[in-house]
Amino acid sequence: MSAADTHVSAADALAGLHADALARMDAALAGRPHNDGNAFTAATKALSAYREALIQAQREHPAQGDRDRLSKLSAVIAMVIAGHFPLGAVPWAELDKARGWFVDLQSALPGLEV
Amino acid sequence: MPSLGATFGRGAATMALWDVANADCVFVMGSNMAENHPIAFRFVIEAQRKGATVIHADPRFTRTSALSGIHAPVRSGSDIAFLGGLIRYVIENDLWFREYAMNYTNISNIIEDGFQDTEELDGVFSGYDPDNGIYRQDTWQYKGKMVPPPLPDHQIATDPPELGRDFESMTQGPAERDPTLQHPNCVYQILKRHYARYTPEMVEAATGCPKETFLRVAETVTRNSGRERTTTICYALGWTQHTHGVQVIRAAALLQGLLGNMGRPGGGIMALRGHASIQGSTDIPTLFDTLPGYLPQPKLFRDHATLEGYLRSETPTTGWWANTPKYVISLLKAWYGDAATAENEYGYQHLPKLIGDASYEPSILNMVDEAIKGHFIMGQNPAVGAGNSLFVEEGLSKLEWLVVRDFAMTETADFWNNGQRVQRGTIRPDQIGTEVFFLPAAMPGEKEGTFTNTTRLVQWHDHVCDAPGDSRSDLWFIYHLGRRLKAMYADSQEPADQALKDLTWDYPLQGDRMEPSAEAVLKEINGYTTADRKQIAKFADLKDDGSTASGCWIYAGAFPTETHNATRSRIPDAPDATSGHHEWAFAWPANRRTLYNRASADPEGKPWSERKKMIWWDEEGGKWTGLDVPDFVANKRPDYQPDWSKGARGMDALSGSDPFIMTADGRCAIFATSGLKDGPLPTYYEPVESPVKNLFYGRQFNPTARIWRHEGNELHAPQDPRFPHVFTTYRLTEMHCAGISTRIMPHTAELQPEAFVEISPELAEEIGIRTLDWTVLSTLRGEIEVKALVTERLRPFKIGRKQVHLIGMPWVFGWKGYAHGAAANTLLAITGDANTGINVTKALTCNIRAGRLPEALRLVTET
Repeated sequence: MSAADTHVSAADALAGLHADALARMDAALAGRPHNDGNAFTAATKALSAYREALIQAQREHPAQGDRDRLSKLSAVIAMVIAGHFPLGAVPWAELDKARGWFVDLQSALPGLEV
Repeated sequence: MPSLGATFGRGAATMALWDVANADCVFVMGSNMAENHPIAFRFVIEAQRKGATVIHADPRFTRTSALSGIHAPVRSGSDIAFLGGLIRYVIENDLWFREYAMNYTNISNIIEDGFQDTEELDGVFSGYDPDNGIYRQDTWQYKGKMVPPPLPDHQIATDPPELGRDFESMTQGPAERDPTLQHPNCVYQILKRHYARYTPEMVEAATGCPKETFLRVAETVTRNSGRERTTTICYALGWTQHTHGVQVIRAAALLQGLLGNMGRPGGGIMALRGHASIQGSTDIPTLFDTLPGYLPQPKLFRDHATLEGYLRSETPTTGWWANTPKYVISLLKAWYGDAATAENEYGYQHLPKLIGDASYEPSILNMVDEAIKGHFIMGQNPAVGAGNSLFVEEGLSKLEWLVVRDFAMTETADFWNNGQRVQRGTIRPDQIGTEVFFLPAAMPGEKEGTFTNTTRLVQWHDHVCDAPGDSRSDLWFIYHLGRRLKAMYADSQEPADQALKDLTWDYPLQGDRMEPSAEAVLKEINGYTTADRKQIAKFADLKDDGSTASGCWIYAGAFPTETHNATRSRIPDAPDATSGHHEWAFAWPANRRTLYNRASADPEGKPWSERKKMIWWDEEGGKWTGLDVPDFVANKRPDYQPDWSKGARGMDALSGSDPFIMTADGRCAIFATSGLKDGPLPTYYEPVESPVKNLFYGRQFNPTARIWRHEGNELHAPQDPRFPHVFTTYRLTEMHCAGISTRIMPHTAELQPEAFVEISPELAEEIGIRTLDWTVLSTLRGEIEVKALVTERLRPFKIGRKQVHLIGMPWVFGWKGYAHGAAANTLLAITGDANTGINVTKALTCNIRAGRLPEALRLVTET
């Protein structure tokens, strides 16, 4: 397998993890107004798995903006955790925004067009 | 301690330990004080020798019970029923200290029309949002007011939120009151209705304490309260570690306010902290949601985007907390030094903005979910000491890295090699990717610094000898870690790294080991003027213009001059002196030994009685004087009244007879209008896991309890027949907390050599075991085996028509050291108090059977 092929399969894997994490986020959001802890747990786990894959991909193929992407992903994870363990009411509107950031994050990833 | 904070203004013990000796009655509940606070207990004994009655209310008959005049057996977790019964007894029999409570508490205040009590809503108050499990507190307010709580979170939960940060109404005039106490929505009437059902019969039915014993306690406490006599209440973790723990303490605070036992000799609430410097660790916090000196941590979903917004929304308009900007800006100057300027909001943007609950229990769940990558553990052994030990180990196994600093190898640092999950075959070491760094720590005599004890007393201790080998102090570790991080990021241009670059980190280093000067740290905590770096003498000298710095405003005065470390002082008063040992170390705030001591005098400024005098108004001198540092504006006359015509602010808004200066109206909150997440009045709920139904309301347990459902952290439903017994945990004199420091010491280990479970003879007979027989304890979280100690110290409780057995087990054992045995916390679930999030350890349910675990599941101990 060539380096380019490896890159493509890594990108596919990343896309798959992204889709999974997005589905888990949607499931947590669908529980509104009820805070379904198990749904949030699943979303956190899926987002963490995506983060691991993203870090790995960035280590293998460093690119400009890596740190920024990781910061944005951390913000998404932090927001999901805030939804799971809120200080008051669950911040649903902010979670909606975080979902949007997460969608944008994957579509802005360099190299996916390979 | 949000309960004491919301009621009186400060979350700390209200009195000095030695003042317990001046009590006429000492009521210990939620604590085995003789066992776990033996040094403090000497003052209880001293009071007893002087004629005081000592009462111990506890599920077990302990060493404390043995030394008490009255032991009241109370089922674990049912404390609010007992305390609510006492409140009712006081109200119904008109035994409250009327002149004190009418003048110094909010008992006559009128509450908003929309308020509804648990009596009307079957166990919840108005404002409950069942979707989020939270309360909105609009209807709990004084009529026409928004009353900011004196807690670190000064805002009120309202919808819309901006209502809850508009405190201008407090400056426009006093809250409406009804001195006749007849208004249906005055606090007195609400209180009377709320506690009407807490009859002695209901107390007995819910707690198992015989009615006669309860009435004896009630009669003793009330007889020893009033103008001439005072009662002290002492409590510890037995009250704290419940999903309704804060409200248990609130009930005691409310009772003491009614009885006039606050701010007076031998009166108060003695909050016995869990170990040596826990008070210090909340003053300069390891808590996630406060900044030093009980200032609020900025939050994302608040008006905290700028310093101006933060200060505007977090500064109460009336009372002492109106000084908040001085303390916040001085803190930022201490942290960021010259880099903190008015132009850059004194570095405010460097502070993280909280978005969720980042306390320890959710963090464990987040470790399990792999969201957290690294973890520092210092002075803690969660594999033994935290609830749901197996779950904790699972979380640790998901980390990338773990740093543990301790005196000796702990179960936590070795979890990957010989933890419970490894021993049971759940996981193999090679399947755990966590990189563990174990670093040896210095012991107290091997380093200098301070302890802040349970009564806010900051006491310096010297370095006696060097720690062996690579062992270093925590200060050394933190300082040099910070130094290296600063060096690593010195050239970074990332905005996020600027906070690290701006951090002041310039403590002098001493000796070959380059030990940072703890005195220099204490000097910074105390505070100084920024222009010439002169120590400030008191927090009243702090400014909000950047001209002063202070790492923790309440500690100002601990190091008031360049050469005077007040925490070093060790000059006791003469044995027959009646003052407060003011030359013995330093007590925050301002070296006051008894908080709220203005309340020791009547509204005119005269002592309530000669026997119980402490602070009084000196008309000739035009100031408050007496046996303690006045907790009041020194020259504010007792007849001072605010001038409301211009809008009174800060301390000008409190009259000369408002002793609780940290609250927005200067009064003790019998009714907590804000600040507490689970209601303005303590209400009886069963523990989340309970073998019985709540006899008081349809609502079974605290509707705002922090419950985190997660695989591996399953809860037992109420009255689950598989888990019919109440389980409680506790410590032993001979073992310190999670035990490692004492289990590795032969001379303490031999005194308590092995884990045991205490059960009553009745339960022993039911399951067919005798002392030293093996038993298996089980919950949905785990199973452990442990030898039985059958003892009459435990007795079954009759709850309603049901007999309920209590099972008790020390949580101090593990599998390292000379003394070992099963970790009791394996059985616990991770659930939290509504206000503090502290884990529930005192009342859960479990099962017990005779016999042993299969061999593969037995604990392998190490010696």
